[in-house]
Amino acid sequence: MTGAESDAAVARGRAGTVRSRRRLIYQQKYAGYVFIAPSLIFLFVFVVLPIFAALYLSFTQYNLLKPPKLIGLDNYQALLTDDRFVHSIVNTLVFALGTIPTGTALALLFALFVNQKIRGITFFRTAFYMPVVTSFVAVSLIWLLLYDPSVGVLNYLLQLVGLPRSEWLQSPQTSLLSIIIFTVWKNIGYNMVIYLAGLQGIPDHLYEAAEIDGAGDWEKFWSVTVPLLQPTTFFVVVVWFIGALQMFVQVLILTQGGPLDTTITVVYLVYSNAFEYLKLGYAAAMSFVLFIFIGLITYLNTRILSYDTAY
Amino acid sequence: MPHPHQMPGSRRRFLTAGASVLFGLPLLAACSNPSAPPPTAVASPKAAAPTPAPAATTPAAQPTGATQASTTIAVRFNGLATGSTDYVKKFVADWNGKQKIHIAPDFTDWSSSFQKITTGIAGGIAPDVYAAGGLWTPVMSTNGGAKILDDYLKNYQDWNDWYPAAQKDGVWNGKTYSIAYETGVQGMVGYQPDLYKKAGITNPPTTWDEARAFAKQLVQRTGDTITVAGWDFLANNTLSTQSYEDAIDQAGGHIFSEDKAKPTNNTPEGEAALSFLVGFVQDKSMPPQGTPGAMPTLNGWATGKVAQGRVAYTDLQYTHQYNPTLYQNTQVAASLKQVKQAQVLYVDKYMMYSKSKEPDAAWEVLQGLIAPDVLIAIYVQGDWATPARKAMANAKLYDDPRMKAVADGVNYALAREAVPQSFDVQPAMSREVEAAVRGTKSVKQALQDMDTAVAKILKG
Repeated sequence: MTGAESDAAVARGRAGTVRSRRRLIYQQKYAGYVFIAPSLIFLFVFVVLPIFAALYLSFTQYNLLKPPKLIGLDNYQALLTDDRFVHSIVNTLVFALGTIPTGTALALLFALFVNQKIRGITFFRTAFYMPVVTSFVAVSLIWLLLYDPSVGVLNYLLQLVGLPRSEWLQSPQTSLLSIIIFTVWKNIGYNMVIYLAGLQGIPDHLYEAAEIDGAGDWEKFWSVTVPLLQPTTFFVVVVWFIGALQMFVQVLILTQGGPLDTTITVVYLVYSNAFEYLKLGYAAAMSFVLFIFIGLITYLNTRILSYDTAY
Repeated sequence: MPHPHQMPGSRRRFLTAGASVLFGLPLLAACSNPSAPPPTAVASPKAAAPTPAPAATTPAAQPTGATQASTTIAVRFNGLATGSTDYVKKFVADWNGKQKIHIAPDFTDWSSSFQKITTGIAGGIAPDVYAAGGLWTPVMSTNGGAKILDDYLKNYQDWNDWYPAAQKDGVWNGKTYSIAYETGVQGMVGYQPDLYKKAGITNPPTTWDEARAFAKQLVQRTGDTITVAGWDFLANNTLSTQSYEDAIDQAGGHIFSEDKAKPTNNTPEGEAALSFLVGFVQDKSMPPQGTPGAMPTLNGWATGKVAQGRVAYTDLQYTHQYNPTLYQNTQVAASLKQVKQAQVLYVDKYMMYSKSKEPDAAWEVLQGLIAPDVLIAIYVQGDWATPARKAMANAKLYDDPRMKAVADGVNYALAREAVPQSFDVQPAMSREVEAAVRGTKSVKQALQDMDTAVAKILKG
């Protein structure tokens, strides 16, 4: 082989290497798409498509049994004059404002407690988290029994300490409060675990520095723990708010919106209109209004709760 | 040494190939057609089909053992108790062993049945025959979910055996769309005789005035809490209209005009009916929410918290099941009479899917399902329901005088007034009844608002 032939061979070899590298890169990209394709298809078919289908339905009159009939903005206009819809928004907001501050404060308190390095603390961590992993329907049924005005344990305990019995879920005055209490109990473990992770991320040297400066437990809590937990609190409040605005299972199992619509929420009203009254178009319109509402509330939350704490 | 990515059979190639197979398999499965049974001729409809009940005579000249199906009819049953489900399975096994038309049963609970049937109809995959609830006739008939059965019924000799109100329940715009398989009444008067004796009452009430007067004598309290109600009726958010509908029937009124085009509750009869219910709460003879339990099966009747009141067959069933001692001390009397003795008849029925591919075969199956012994076995023994046809009145359950009284109540029960929008109308009416009972609205205001709300719903 001459030198020129050798150079040509080397050049051909290098070109071949470049081509095979490009093919490899192409194959790697292609392989990546193949791997994520099932999830993408699943998301598209079961999440994205239904959203656009619901948007279309919100402009129709549709009862499942006959084809949808386009009616323009009639559903949205009807929402403006629907007292029950407005009432459900108020109930949903009251529920959110009732569960979030209480639940957040209690979750932080529980997290502080289980963050102790004492024997047996794992038992308490598990016990506080147990309601989270239990089926919502199952615990709702249990709480139905607890809340029974005649034979329920809660009234029995109230009477034991000399307090008057309550009608709980059966009274318009206490029905929403009863659901709030149950929901806080159910969700507290989840947020406790998040706070626990946040607490364990706070460096010890900050507490040591505070101690050196003469700070007591209370000052350390307010000046070190709370500010450095702001990102965690931000996450807990925003996520809980989004969940609270979509409250449904508790109402379905415990009260079906009663008594006197005092526990009706937006999602329950969507469900009733869609699957009981067969007004799917109207329910779809309601769900989109809820979507916009949740978006606005979340935006407000992020503006109010935005943090910039750093030590 | 070759680059690992260039090696034949490398890990990366293996994973890529695996992902392609995993992704491709569901696509292939989705594109394939399941094999369908070969179409065969359907047997011509007979006037009276053989009844393959467990102890009944066998059908004419059929070989034992499973027969090859000429066609299969899907039948949906709703809300069956365990014993009834077992009976149905045995019935189906016997039927399929002797008939060329096979039954494919499907069981669901009542709470999800309406959603399932409507989504099934929307998707074109509804069962050929399905159980339907009380308010379903207008909804299904006006939306093409149910087949008209008049052509089949005119040749069906047993049709006259059905109670008139049960027949009427299946009619919409002059056409029959369903056949009742069980009925229920909720307006009978239940009472505890030993509490009557303590209060010095000798006979159960027959009029509204008597009911209210007795209720005041019977109620028991601890402080302000009513421990035993002097009267009881459904007073919750979604069902309280049922109590009101019994009362307006007794007052001689109607909830809709004759053409079902407008509501007629804001009338003297409506006012009398709602005032009657509200009166018990105003008299403090019962709490405004009634006596519901945490579980439907542990309501006031089953837990002994009701001295007398409007009683449903389910109340008796639960009391018998969970408190047999109390059941022995519970009696049933006829429903009250104001202008007339009346109560609403709740009817569960079979409907045929309007787009069933084998309607004649479905009719064959339907005839088998509505035979008296089959209905008794499934719905009377299992559900404690009252009869839909007179032949069911021979059931052993009605040897019990309480259930006999309930079964007799069917004779003067009236078909429930329903419209295609009844699933929306019922809760709207219930909200107003509840508001009046709880005292947040006057009777007059509640009835005005009720008619306004219902008129808006009917208008669409």
